[in-house]
Amino acid sequence: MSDGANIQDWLDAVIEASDELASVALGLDNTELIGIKEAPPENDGSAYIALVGEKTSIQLGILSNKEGCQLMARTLLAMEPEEEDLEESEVADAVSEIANILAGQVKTIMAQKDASVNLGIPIFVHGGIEVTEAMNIAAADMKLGSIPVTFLVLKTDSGASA
Amino acid sequence: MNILVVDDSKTMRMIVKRTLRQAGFGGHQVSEASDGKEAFESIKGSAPDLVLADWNMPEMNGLELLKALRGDGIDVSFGFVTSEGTSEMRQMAAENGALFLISKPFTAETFQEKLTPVLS
Repeated sequence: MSDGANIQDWLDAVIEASDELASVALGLDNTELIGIKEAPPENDGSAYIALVGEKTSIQLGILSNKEGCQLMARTLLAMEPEEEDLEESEVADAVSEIANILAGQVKTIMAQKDASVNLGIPIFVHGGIEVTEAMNIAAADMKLGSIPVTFLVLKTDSGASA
Repeated sequence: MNILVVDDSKTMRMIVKRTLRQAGFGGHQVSEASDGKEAFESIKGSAPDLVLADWNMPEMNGLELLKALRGDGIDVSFGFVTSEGTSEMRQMAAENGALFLISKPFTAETFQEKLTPVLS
């Protein structure tokens, strides 16, 4: 059952949205696409948010190492270098909010192709996720300023069997 | 004036408060609620002059909060500050009585533009 938007379309939208995310939300001058792959990398922390519509189910993920997650959170909060590191719960909240912002932009970009999509509420997980056969994956390794991140798109077709 | 910031993310509540200061609204009293249900109870207790609410929240989302307020005859000025930015969501917000919808990521200039008519 096709919804007219394949996983690469969603990943392209994520990459497009990352520019505004970086410049407006994070105040960073540049983003850099390092590479595209089809598997999630090992990571220390990641935030996921669901975009669910009539014909498709997407999870967007933002993954990074521990230092990258701390730096993303500090950058979002415009913290000074000399300020103490954030607690894990604060990092989780901040990176989850970054995922939320990204997902909203992706939803807007993709509205023409799939207008039925609704946003979920983000979650933050430590470590990796278990990928099932029903999932298609596309990932983009990027740098937001100097922050290494991987943007992940997990797509489940509603007609797929588990 | 009293502004109520409603968002399930503590990070975003901090960012909204920071942006209010950057936009020149630092002289107003700012209170917080972490979801629509908490906000609804707070507003019934002491009505703020402006509610800035996220859309997607647990317990009671921003739209449900707005509908509940209007349903109770509470005509508080209400605006969304949300990652939802499609034309459909903006229309839904306006139809239910929101004065504006500021989509994330936002700037201090956007806050100035949308909030000045309400707070001046």
